[in-house]
Order: sequence, then structure tokens, then C-alpha cells
Amino acid sequence: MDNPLYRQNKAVIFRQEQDEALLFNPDNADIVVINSTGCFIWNLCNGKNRKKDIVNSLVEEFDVSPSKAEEDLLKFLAELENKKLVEKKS
Amino acid sequence: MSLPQNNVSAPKTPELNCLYFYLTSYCNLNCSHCWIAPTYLEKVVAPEEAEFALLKEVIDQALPLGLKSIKITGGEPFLNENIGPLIAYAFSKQLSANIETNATLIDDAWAEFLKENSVKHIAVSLDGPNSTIHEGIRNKPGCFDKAVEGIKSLKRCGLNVQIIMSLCGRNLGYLEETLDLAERYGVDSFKINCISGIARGKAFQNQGATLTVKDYLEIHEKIRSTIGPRHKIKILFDIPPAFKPLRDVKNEAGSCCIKNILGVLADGSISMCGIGNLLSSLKFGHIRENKLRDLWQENAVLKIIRDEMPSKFKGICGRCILKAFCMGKCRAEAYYANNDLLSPFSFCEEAFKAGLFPQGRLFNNKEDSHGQPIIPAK
Repeated sequence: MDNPLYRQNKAVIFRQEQDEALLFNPDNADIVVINSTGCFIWNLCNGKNRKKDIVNSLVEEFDVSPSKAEEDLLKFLAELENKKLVEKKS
Repeated sequence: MSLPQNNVSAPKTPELNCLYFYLTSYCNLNCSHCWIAPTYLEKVVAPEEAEFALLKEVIDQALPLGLKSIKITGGEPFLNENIGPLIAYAFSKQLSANIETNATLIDDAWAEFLKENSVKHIAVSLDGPNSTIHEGIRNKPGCFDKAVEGIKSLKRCGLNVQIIMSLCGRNLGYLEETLDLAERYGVDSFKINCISGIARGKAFQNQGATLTVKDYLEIHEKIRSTIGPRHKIKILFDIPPAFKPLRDVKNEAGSCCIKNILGVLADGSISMCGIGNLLSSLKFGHIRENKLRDLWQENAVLKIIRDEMPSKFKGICGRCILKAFCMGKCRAEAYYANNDLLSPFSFCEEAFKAGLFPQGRLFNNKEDSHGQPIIPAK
């Protein structure tokens, strides 16, 4: 599980409004509001990208080091996983 | 709506987190918009309707079901001499206590008592910045000054105070002045309520004295864009979450914890909330005759709430992506209007018909609408 795949929970409702978006899990009524970086990551959780792919995309898109990108990414995805908004697969 | 037979089939019952004590069916004010419509009383002490031992018994029976907090309201709860013992008992059980009051009976001694018993939050109804506006709605001369004195006493003791302003045609032009007043007295937050279409609120609507959904949405936008930034106080607007900006959806008032509450009426009857005061079909039983656990686990109305909300919500509520969060905003109002707990909330339905419901908050054709038909074509 060093380089897992991330996939959006298909039940989750995603709504982008201006520079932020709402992720809403109708099964447990959990709501997360994410910023534009979060939206960027969310769109990469398509079941095809692995952790390292997402880190690479972040480094390309934003002014951030690979280590910082990975640290922030794992923290963000852990919250989404905890709220059952994304699934992690080996 | 047909109600199912009582049935103890669901082993997984939600926690009963909060009891709403509608402590008296009397009030010393006679507000034009009140949804509870208590009996007006000139005196400062109301007749006892349920003895304290009975109130204590409800708490004792609710504790094993998950009770964590109580809300004390009315009528005006300070008319009932049991309010002090009830607060003290809740404190002794480490329950969080919140109160809704018109504050006209609160003095320094009461404020100190509330502080000593760690009352968490006191919501005070104030419908305007002066006696003319406030008393014009609350129909009791002198009640403005008394409410303000009550607020001052509460704040002198450092209690968390919220002003609730029920917005209608008569006080709309005084919103900012009322916000100024709240800030002047150090009030912690300011909540704006829409008038509920129940009881006197419905009659108020029928007189044309309330605002339209369009009015409420316009003032909500004005608060966000201009009024809010001019004030330091936290402003909450109790419109359904579907109309709020994303960042406010979770953080502001606007949804009901209907699956985790029970109402305790003044006489000891148990209901969904205060609506049992008006509709006997929503009274579940009485604490003298029923065990709270039996009512909580077996009542047919609660079974609908648990099993059919939000998946079987009708109309606009069934099509809203926030239905599981919002839970149909106020089910009491929906039932009062339509005799159906699953019927749509009037504010959202009216907004949808007027083209004011945000399209982005509706399920679209690609999404699973969780038990609801996919949005039908117009």
C-alpha cells in the first residue's frame, strides 16, 4: 500500500461553485468543503491515478516540493477516506 | 399519510441526544408570529402542569438512551417555577443546557444562577431595536425594556447570549439597528428566523405580514455582501442549507436533528417536538403512562422518521442533494401544512416554483438520488 490507487466514492455528490467545492456523502450526511487545490486532487482520484501520480501532478501544477506535496496529499486524502468520500486500493 | 403499526423490529435505534422541554403552555407575551401559540398570562408564575419529579423522571429515563443535552423553552419557561430545579438537575447529570426565552423575567439573580449551573447558551427573542417595533409584534407593553434588562443581566454574568429576531414586514427595516443593539450589549450571536407557517405564524402569513421567500433570499444576500461585513457579531440566518454558500452549509444553523430529539410538553406528554402542543397525532405518549425507552424504540412516527427520511422525501426535498443533511428543515411545519411528514418544506417548494432554488443543489440525471426517481422532465 505504499503507492495506492485512489477512487472517488460514486455515491458522493460533488458541486463546484467558484473556487471551492462541496463533497457530500448522502449515506452519512458528511459534508466537506474543499478549495481549488482540493478540487484538483478530487478530480485525480479517478481509480487510475496512484499516490505518486497525484504527487507528480501537484508538483507540476503548484509551486511545491514533492515531499511537501506528498505530506499534504496524504493528510487530505486521509480525511476524505475517513469520511468515506474516497476509497483506497492497493 | 398512513402510519405503520407499532413494531419493535429495528434493533438499531439512534441515540436520543437531546430533550426539548416545552416547560409551560403559558406565555407572558402574545406574539403575532408564535408557532407554539401558548396561552397568554398576565401573571409572572404559571400554573404547574407537570411536577418536577416527572421532569426528573424523563431525564433519568433518557440518560441510558444517550441523552447529552436539554433545551428549555415554552411558552416562556421562566414562568414555570420548576425551571430552576430542572436546570440544576441537568447540571448535576453533566448535561448541556440551552434556553430559549423572551428574557423579560431574567434578573441578576437568575443570571447568576444560570452561570453557576453552567447553562451553555441562552437565546433571547428580540424583534426590533426599540419598544415600538418589538412590542408591536410581541403585543405586550413594557416587554422591550424588560428584555433588554434581561440581556444585560445575562451578559454581566458572562453567559453566551444569542438574540433571535423573527424577520417580517414590520421589522425588516430595523434589522441593522437591532444588530447594532446586540453589539452594544455584547451579545455573542444574532440569529434571524423566518416566520414559521404554524399556528399564529400561519395567521400572520395569511394577513400578508410575513416576507416572501424572494424577500428572505434577498436579505440573506444583503447580509452576506453588505450588512454582515459592517458588523462584528456572528450572524446566522435560518434559511434551509440549500440556499447557503458552500462554506456556510455545515457551519450555520439550518438543519434539524429530528432523528435524535424528543419534545417533552408542559404536561409531561412526549412528542416529536413542540408541534405536539398543536397536533395530538404527534403526541407519542405520556411519561406517567409510558416508558421513554418504549416510546423511543417503538413509536410509529419515529419509525417513519428513521426509516423513510430522507429517502422518501417528496417534492423538492426528495430532489435536493442536501436532503440527508437538512432532513427537510422543519418536519413539524411540513406535517402541519400537509398532514404528511415526508412532504416538501414550504420555503424550498415555493423557491423552486419561483425559479429561485439553486439548480446546483439538485440531483442531476447522472446521479443516484437515493431512493427518489431521477428528476422528471418538466
